[in-house]
Order: sequence, then C-alpha cells, then structure tokens
Amino acid sequence: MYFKITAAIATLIAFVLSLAVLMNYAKFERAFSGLTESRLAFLVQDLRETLEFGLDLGLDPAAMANTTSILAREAAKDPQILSILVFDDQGQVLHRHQREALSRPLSELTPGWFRTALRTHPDAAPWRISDPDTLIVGATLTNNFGRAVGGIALRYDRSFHDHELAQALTGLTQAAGLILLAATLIALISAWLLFRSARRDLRRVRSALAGFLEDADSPAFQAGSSGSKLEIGYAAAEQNSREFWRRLRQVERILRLEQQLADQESADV
Amino acid sequence: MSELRQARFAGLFIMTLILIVAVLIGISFYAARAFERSLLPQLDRKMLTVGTAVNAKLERALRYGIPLERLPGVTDFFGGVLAANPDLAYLAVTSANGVVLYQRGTLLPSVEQLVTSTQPPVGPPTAQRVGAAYDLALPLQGNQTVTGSLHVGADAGFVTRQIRELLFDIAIVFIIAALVALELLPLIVQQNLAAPMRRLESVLRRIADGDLRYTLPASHDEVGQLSSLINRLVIRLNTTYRQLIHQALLLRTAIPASVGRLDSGLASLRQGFILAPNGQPTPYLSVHLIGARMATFLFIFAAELSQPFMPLYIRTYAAALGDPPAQWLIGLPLTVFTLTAALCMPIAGWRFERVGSRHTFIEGAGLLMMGLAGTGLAFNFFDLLGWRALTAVGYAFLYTACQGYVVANSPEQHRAQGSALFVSGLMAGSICGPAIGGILADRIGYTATFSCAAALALGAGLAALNLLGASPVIRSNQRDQQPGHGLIRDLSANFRFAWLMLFAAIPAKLLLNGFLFFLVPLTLYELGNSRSEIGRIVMLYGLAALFLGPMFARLADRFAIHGLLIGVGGLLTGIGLIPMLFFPNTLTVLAGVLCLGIGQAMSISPQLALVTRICRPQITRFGSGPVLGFYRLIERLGGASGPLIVAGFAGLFGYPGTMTAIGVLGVVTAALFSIGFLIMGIDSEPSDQSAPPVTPEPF
Repeated sequence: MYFKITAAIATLIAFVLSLAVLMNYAKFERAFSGLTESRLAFLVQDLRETLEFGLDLGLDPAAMANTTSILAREAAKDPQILSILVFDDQGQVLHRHQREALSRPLSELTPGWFRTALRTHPDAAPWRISDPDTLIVGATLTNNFGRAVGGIALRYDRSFHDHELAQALTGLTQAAGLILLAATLIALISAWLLFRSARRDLRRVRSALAGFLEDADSPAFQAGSSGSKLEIGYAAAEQNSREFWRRLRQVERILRLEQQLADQESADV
Repeated sequence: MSELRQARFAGLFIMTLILIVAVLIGISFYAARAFERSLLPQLDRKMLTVGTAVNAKLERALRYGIPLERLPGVTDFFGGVLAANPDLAYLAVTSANGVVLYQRGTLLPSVEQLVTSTQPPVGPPTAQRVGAAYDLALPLQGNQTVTGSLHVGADAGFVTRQIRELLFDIAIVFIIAALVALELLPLIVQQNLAAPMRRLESVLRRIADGDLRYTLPASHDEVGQLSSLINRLVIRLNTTYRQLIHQALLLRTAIPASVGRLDSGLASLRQGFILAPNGQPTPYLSVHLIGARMATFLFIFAAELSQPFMPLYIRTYAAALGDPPAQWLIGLPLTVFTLTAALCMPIAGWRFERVGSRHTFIEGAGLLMMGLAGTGLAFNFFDLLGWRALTAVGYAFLYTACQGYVVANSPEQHRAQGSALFVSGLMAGSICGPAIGGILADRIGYTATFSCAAALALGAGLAALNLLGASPVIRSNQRDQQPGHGLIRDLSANFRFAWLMLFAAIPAKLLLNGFLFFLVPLTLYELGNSRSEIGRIVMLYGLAALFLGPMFARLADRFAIHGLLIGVGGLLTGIGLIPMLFFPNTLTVLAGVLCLGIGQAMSISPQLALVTRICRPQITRFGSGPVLGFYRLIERLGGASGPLIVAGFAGLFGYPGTMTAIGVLGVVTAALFSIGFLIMGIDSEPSDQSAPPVTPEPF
C-alpha cells in the first residue's frame, strides 16, 4: 500500500519536474540563443554600417578593397566565428573571410540561398537562420536609394552553442532526478508514518484471527481503549463467530450422541 | 471515508502539495544557479562586444582632437545602441577624474561606485557587480592618454529576471499538479486502502450481525492477507454447518425417532444467523465512483489539451485554401466537432446500453486517440475536418460512458453527489488541459502536443479497464433520452421553455463556444500572447466554473433565485465582452474570460432547475429524461452554431469588434430573458422539487 501511494506521488512529482525542466530549458535556450545572436547581430550591424558608409560614398561593393581586412578584424573578436561573407544582390560572394584550420569544411551557401535571404529580409534589421553546423546571422546592405545591393552573412560555430545547451539540459535532468529521488523517499516515509496505525490495526486483527482459526478456544480479542473501527468491528464479528462455533459444536455433540444412541439401539436389537 | 481516514487523506494531500512546492522551488533554484553560470559569461561577452564597438567610435572622435567633454550627440548615440540591445541597462562615459560626462539608460551606479569600477583591472576587462548592475569599464584613449572610461552596464538581475518570467508557468504547473493530485490520490487511497477497508469492515459488520454469506476479494497486501483469513473463517463456518446438516439428514433417515430432537437443535443453531446458500459464500462487491471521476478527468484532459491553440492550428490548414483564410473556415472544424458530438450522443447511449460503460469508454478512447493523432498529422483542411469529427464521436462515447456509469452506480438518494463527482473530474480536466496544452505547444509544437493528447487518450482507455469496474446496464429513465414528436410539439407550445431556450440557453452556449474556443485564442495570439499565455487565460474559465458553480447552485436553490441568476449571469457575460472594441488588450480579454466563467457558473445549474420547473407538465407526461434530452440537444446545437456565427462577425468587424458585438448580443438576450420572465413569471408553485441529477455540459 505504501509503495502504491508513494508510486502515485512519485509519478505526479516526475510529471511536475518534467514540465519544470522543459520550461526551464526552453527559457534557458531562448535566453542563451538570444544573447549569442544579439551579440553577433550587433557585430553584423556594425559591419553593415561600416560597409554602407563606403556605399554612401559611391563605392562599388565589389571594389571596396579593405573589406576583407575589416571582416578579418571582426572575425578575430570571437574564435567561434567561422566565416563572414559579403555578397551582392545576385548572390555572388564578393568578399570572404574564413577561419583557417576548420575541423571539417563548411557547407557552401548557394547564390539561390543568398537571394532568398535578401528577398525575405528586405529591411535593415539583422536576420538569423541556422543550419546543422552553424548559426547564420546576416544583414541586408542598402544603398543611398534604399535599394538592397547585397548582404553580409556571419557563420558561427554552433558546436559551442549546442554543447552549452546540452550541458544545461543534462544538468537540469540530473538535478530533477536527484530531487525526484529525495521527494520519493520523503513520500515513502510520510506515507508510512500516516498509515502505520492502520497497518498496526490490520496486523493486530490478523494475528487475533489467525489465533482464533488455529484454536477456537483461544482468548477473545479485546479492542484497545482507543480501538479503531476495524478492531471494534472485528471484536464483534469474532464474538458472533465464537457463538456460532459453540452452537456448531453443540449440534455436533447432539449428532454424535444421536449416532451413539442409534448404534446402541441397533446393537440391542 | 471515516473521519480518521479523511484526516489521513488530508495529511497525504497536504504532504504532496508541500512536496510539489519544494520540488518546484528546488528545481527553480538549481536552474537559477545553472543559468547564472552559463548566461553571465555570455552577457559579459555581449557587453564587451558592444563596449569595444562604441569605444572605437568614441576614440575615433578623440583622435580627431575633440575633447571628451565636448563630443556632440553622444547621449543620442547611446540611446540608439541601448534601443537595439535591450539586454543592456546603460551606457555612460566618465572623465579621468570620475565625473559622469554622458549617460543613458537605467540602473546607473553612483559616481563613487563607477570610480571604483574604473580601477584598472589586471588582465582583460571583465564586468564587475556594481550596485544593481554589472558594469564593464573600458578605458577611452585619445592621443595615447587615457582621458576617461566608457561604462557598459547590464541588469544584475538579468538571470533572476529570466527565472521570474517563468513564475507564471511554474504557478500554473503547481495548480495543475494540485488538481491532478486531487484526482490521483483519492483514487489510489480509495482503491488500495479506503475501499478494501470499507469492504472489510462491511463484511465484519455482517458477520457480527450473523450474516455469513460473503467473502472478500483477496490480494497480496496487508488488507488482502486479513481478507484471506476472514474468508477462511466464513468458509469454515459454512462448511462445518453444511457437514452437520448433511449428517443430520443421514441420521433423520436412519433414525426417524431423532427427527424432533435434531430439528430443535438445528433450529437453535441457525437462529440469528444467515448462511450462504449451498454453503458457498459469494464475494462481497462494492462499486465506487472515484474511478469514473479519474476516467472523466483523463479523457477531458486529453480532449482539451489542444483547446488553446486549435483555431491557430486550423488557420495553418485553412491558409492553404486562401491566404488570409476566411474566418468561417477557421470556425468550421470547431462547429463540426460540437455538432458531431451532439448528434452522436444518442448513438453513444445506444452503445452504452448494449455493452456497458467500460466497453463504451474503451471504444471512445480508441476513437478519441485516433482522432487526436489524425488531427496532429492531417494532410489538409478536409481530412482535418474528418479527424475532428472522429474525435467528437470518441468524445461523445467517453462522455456518455462516464456519465452513465455514475448515474447507474449512484443510489437514488446520492445521485446528486455522484453527478458532482463526475462534474468535478470534468472541470478539473478542462482546467488542466488548456494550460498544459498551451505550454506543450509552445515548447514542442502542435504535432507533438496532439501526440501527447492521443497518448493520454490511450492511457485513459487502459485505465478504464481498472477504473470502471462494473459494467452496469443503465436504466432507460436515468439517461437523457431522445425526444419523440409528441414531446417536441408539447415543448414547442411551452412559451416559457421556448423563451428560456432562445434567450438564455442557446446564447450561453453560443457565447461559450464562439468566444472561448474561437475568439480568445485568435485574439490573444494577434495581441502577441504565446500559446502558454492563451492556455493560462482559457484555464481561468474552468477555474471560475469549478469554484463558483457549486456556490451559485446552492444560492439559487436556497433563495429560489434561478431566474435572477440566469439573467444576471447572461448580462455579466455580455458586459464582460463589450469593452474589447475600446480597449483591445490582453487584460480586457482576460476580464472577458473571467466574466464568462462567472456568468456561466451563475446560470448553468439554475437553467437546469428552471427547465424542470417550467416543463413540469411535460416531465409528468413524458418523464424528465426526454425533456432534458431535448433541452440538451437544442443547447448543443446552439453551441455548435457559435464558432460559425462568430466567424461570420469576425469577417465583418475583426476580432475586437466581434467580441463587442457578441457582448451586445449577450446583453440584449439576457435583458429579453429577464423582461420576459418578469412579465410571464416562473410557475407560481413552490420549487419543492429539486432538479434531477443532471450535469452541465462542457461544450
């Protein structure tokens, strides 16, 4: 009984904990990704402002000679930045800075991909996309006439990001597991404390009944002064059973006597 | 339950609540610490990135020879940076002697604190805790000399704010866990302790009274062990008795002279005792309704899980037929659901009469599971309609099975208590479902949430194998029956009944389905609320109905104010919706939902009572079942029309305008109802006949 009650409480607490873990993890994921992406978005915005300054001066984006060094300088600010690309409105990459010695080559972004990014994000606000390997934060470059002439795409190593998230989830799950274990123990002890008197009554009654079944002449059960409903009920039931048992024995004796009488009569005959 | 057992159950419940609170505090505390460890370095990097970029711009100006204290437009520039980076609290520039030259934002520490923070740190610059902020000080260099410092600040409560934002969700989890505990713990205690103990005490009492006909179901626990011993006692007494009777019969045949003596001995033996027929005691069975309550809770939980986002989900399918989709397309699956459920109730009733509650429930759970899973995986709008209809058939089966079980197993004098048990399971499910559904949809998406709902339906079906023990066949006069032509004619001629239906019952269900299930999710989503928030707000309806419904029902019966409560409830519902056009915000929708909950809590039970009063001649002629069945049918049809009518309005007036429009409709119908009944009056006979045990409809 304790175990069933404890199991029910443990199930309930597991349900509560899984919801709490789910919500906390989602919140963490949102906050962590938000911070990372907003930092990268700030870098991209800073880059956009620098490049648009050149566009405002009438320079052709393809011809801005110091762009690659600007990209390299920005990329040096964070070792997790894998590459920064500047592309035109046709999706052709004009300038590129890519980190050397990558553990594996980055998937290529196609001109179609760049064109779609420009089409779906025509305003100046930074945009965010992710692929299996990288988080991509970008911004659209617009000229003096408000026309989109290209864009910037910064690719960020998501292994660090994913590792942090996985670590947070593992930590939360482990903590939830420990809390569940502790709560289950407390529930078990509490259930035992709450229901031990019921169990004691059951044991007392069971022992008395077992004694009565072994030996019908055993002393009658006495309900305690603060006897439970069960004890009082059993005492009355046992008393009546003894009475019936007594009557059965009496009839048994009558039958035996009758039988003896019958045997005697048949012997006399 | 005896007082002692009630006290033990209360103790168990309180202990569980304390554990839930402790567990939630524990996990939140851990999360706060873990968040801090992971998020603070990220915040630090963000401050450094922004600081470095801002610093570079300021230093460029300094290199042109502009003195630091005369840089133009710095504050505005800071404003732009802070607006684009809301996770930062302030930006400030201090001179080399510690005077604040430029500043923007909030939580700016005092000058002394800033000076302390400016002390040149060893190694790369890192943020330090200064007052209520994290402050990162970067030196500003003009022509090789440090002329001042740039301070980038972030709220030190950034991490705790993240946790605090979860507080609402955590509170909802607590409420739901408490409700689930309230369903689960009585069931466990009932099944494992209370019911076996009650059976045990019952059989002992019978033995004490001389009734030796019953044994107890044996199990492996402590109660089961004692039960086995009691069974041994009862069987031994019965067997010994049978053996003696058999011996006596033999003796009677062998020695006719002994007949008189034997008969008197046996007569005195039996006196005051009842023995089992043929010496075979039968198991003592008792039916308890708590299982039906749990079953009701589970299936309603499953069905309502998708409620807070159903119109949003439908909209994604309707968009394939026209972007933006016509409003009536969004309302159509909701109407199909309610209509199908209403029309399938008789079929479910027919099934229940043939196979009993357990089988009907299991069939319903299967249909519900398929319907929900299909809804989550629907290919297009048209098969979505089909899946919703299938879900509704399952719903009708489950509803009928649970209601029928309760009615069939409640003694006549406790029928109202049985119904209350059913309603409490129903309301608890309708509170938990939307709240959890919203959270799940937000975190794991629509399809996964529908999968959870389908799994819950499956769980309900499996649980029913154990929960709905007996499979009674309902007595035909206990269930809502289908109306015959004579009854429909008779009821149509009852002007009071028609008035009640037209101006109270139908508008109430129309508003409920149209507003709560259609308008609330769509409007709240448009106002920028997440699905969790929608779920929380929808949940308030159930909470109000659960806690206030019984109170208003008691008030109505005590003071015989059924008509008054229906009128006031209708008016309150309508008035609650009117402000939306003028104040289109989340708070107004929330107030509308609360008013709807309170209004419906006021009017639902009194409506039933009123029907039994104003239709007394029809009830005398046809019985309460058919009359209430007809009332229910009309009411459900009103409910089914709700989403379509409201969708029609929404196409014309937009969501806020529609809320106001249906609010006005609610006020007008409630006013007409009140005026009509003030003129006509309710039957002058005293209301000495309480309403039959009927239960409010959830849709």
